[in-house]
Amino acid sequence: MSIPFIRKRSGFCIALLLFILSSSGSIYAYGKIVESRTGTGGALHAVPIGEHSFELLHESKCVGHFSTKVERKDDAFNFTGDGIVRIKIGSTAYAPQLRLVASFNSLGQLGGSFLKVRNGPNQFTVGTTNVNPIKVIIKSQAEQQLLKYELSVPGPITLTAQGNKSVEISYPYLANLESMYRGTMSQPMLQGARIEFAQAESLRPECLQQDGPEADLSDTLKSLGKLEGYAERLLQR
Amino acid sequence: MRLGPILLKPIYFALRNRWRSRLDLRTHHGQDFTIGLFSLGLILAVYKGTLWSLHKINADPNLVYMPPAHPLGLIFMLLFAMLILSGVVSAYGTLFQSDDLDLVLASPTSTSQFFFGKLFVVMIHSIWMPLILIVPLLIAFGQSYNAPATYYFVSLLTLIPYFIIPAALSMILATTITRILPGNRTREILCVVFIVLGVAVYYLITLINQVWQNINDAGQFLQMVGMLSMPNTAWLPSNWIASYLQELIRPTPSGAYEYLMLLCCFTVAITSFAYMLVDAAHYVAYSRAKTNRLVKKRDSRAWQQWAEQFVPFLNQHFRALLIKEFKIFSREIAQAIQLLMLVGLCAMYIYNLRIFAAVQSLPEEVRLWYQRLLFVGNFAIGAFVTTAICTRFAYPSLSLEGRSYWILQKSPLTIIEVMRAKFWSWFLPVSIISCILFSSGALALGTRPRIIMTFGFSSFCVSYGIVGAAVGFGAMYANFTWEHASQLAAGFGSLIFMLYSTFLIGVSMIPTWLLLFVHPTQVFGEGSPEVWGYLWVLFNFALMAGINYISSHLVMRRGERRLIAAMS
Repeated sequence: MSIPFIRKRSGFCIALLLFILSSSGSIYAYGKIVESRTGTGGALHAVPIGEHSFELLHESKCVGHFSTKVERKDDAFNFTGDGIVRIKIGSTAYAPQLRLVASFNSLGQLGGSFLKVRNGPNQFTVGTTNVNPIKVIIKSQAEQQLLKYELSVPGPITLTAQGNKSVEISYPYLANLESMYRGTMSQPMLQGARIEFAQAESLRPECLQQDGPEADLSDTLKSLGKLEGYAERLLQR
Repeated sequence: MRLGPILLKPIYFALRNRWRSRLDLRTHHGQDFTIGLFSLGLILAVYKGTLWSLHKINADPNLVYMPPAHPLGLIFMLLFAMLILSGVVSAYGTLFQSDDLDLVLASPTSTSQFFFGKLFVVMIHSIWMPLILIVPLLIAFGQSYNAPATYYFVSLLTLIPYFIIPAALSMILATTITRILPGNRTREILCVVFIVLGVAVYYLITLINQVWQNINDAGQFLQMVGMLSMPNTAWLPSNWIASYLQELIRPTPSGAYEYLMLLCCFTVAITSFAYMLVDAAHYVAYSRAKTNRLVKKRDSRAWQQWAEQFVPFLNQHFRALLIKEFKIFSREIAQAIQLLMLVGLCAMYIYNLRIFAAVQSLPEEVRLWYQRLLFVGNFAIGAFVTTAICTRFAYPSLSLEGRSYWILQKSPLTIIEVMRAKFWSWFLPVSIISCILFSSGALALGTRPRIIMTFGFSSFCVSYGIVGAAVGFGAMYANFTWEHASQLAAGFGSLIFMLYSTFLIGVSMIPTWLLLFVHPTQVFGEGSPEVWGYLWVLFNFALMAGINYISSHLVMRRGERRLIAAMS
């Protein structure tokens, strides 16, 4: 465009410039929105629908199993998880059982959930009720001693179906649920313990055995420092 | 750079002079003041109603939590569609039919002054009514969700870009339509109307097939739920504002500034695009629109002969008025555009009725509740679409006579006869459309023929009341000095008509509710003779017909008196 044209049609040129700048801004912002909606921030995505089994592997040996069941009932979802993991701390072997149950209403909001880790008479439970705010009740029973703690956190935790194959669980009040899952659980607990989840069509017999190979968590617990004593007490027979 | 004030000064002076005159309850201004108080009552009702609804929705946080963005998104989406509808018509009138255009375009007014002046006029014309409803609604949301103080201020500010977007979009659509289609091509636009109508009929047939195939898949219902969460779609401006307002109400660590950024950037982008389009295409489009005034000539004798053959049972006066009404309607391109958009709205409604059919797939105990909800919803939506049609066509029909109204005054007809002719001209098409809407909703719900017929009958009764109110209020607030037809539907009188229509719809729903959900045995007791059941049905039909007949009669009489007083 020549200078006389710009002078003559200054309004048009300013509008064109504004259009280009604001369109770029719009595209950028829209991209951010789409990105945030596809679950990279505050979301745990691609949890498979239906029944699925996972082998818990430690140095190529099966040290337990975990099965998940995500079922759609009418327009609500139920999530169930069951599993067992054989671990060793020092010279003592443990086989804590895990059970997780969560129910989501027709809007995909978590209505109630229950997580239980049990090892003989000792158990640790986390339960949630109410959609918003979420009431969290934490109970631990170890050495005949019952500890109970209640807190309230803003809700809701939401589940979104991604077609018929998987669901996405998101919680906007955690900056990144998946990174928390990976960072807090996987890295110190699972990666440190070198326990991996491997989806399996059918579980190998060694995974189901009570006295199969164990994952040695002694070093992992040492690295967790403060939690070591508590975890040992919790797991003690 | 002064953007627009030159074109806005006359509006400002007109408003100032109007309100400077002495306030007296017997004058027009006094009545405006009284009606203003009535509007305040409406604002209060919206506020209280929203608070109550939100309280009910969030009554049991153990079961479900409705995030503010969901209801807000739905409301903003519906509002956005309304703003586009009224905006396009207003933009067409402002950009191509205003009396001041010859003078303004010949003057050394810059494009920016012209564009921003017109954009402001389009925006004001289309937003003043929604603003009355949205402000109390936003305040109620803030109260209900315990929003911080900043929410109230910032939410009002975010309304500015939200209102600019449909205004700019309307200017783009109006300019493009006029640039592509010359102003005298109303016939072509009416052809498009019939194509859209054909699409609506196609969906209606699909709907009937779907109902007959007896759906039993629960997945259909999930689709329905999915459809209802459509306002959550990322590309809708209604979703951007709703998501940002939710963030103001309940802040999250991640924030939602991208929504605000998108809303603002998109506003600037669409406004600058509209500016460029008006700059580049307005002169040519205006020239094309002007040709409209030269071409519209109809062969009156041929029309008379055709009408004599087609409706020989009507008397001559009435037939002449009927033809005149059709001519007024067909020569206004703004009317054709409005018809196109309203038929499109009806087609969308009928298309979406398919999701009603999914209710049949629900378990019986849940289905009954949903059916009742959707019955009420279908009645209300059908009646409001009828109101929208009447606001655009029946209400301004008297004012559309314009400066040639004196011809009607000199004719051997009384005012009430003219009004009756207008009434019957519009009652027939409106009641047919209304009957299709009401009955297809009932059909989609998979109900018995008895209930479908009840809905059909209700549609005729409600149409009678609404068309009567439209013509009556049109006479009360008649304005024969308009510049373009779209001004009429955006006037203060049309607001009053819509308020009255809402009241009438509410009252008319009572007999329908009694008929559908109160069994005669609940009224007359178990073992009462069968004839009581028939009497119960007759009583409710008579009640509904009576309410609408009396309303129509009273409003038209009042309109006649006001018009005579205004003209004398």
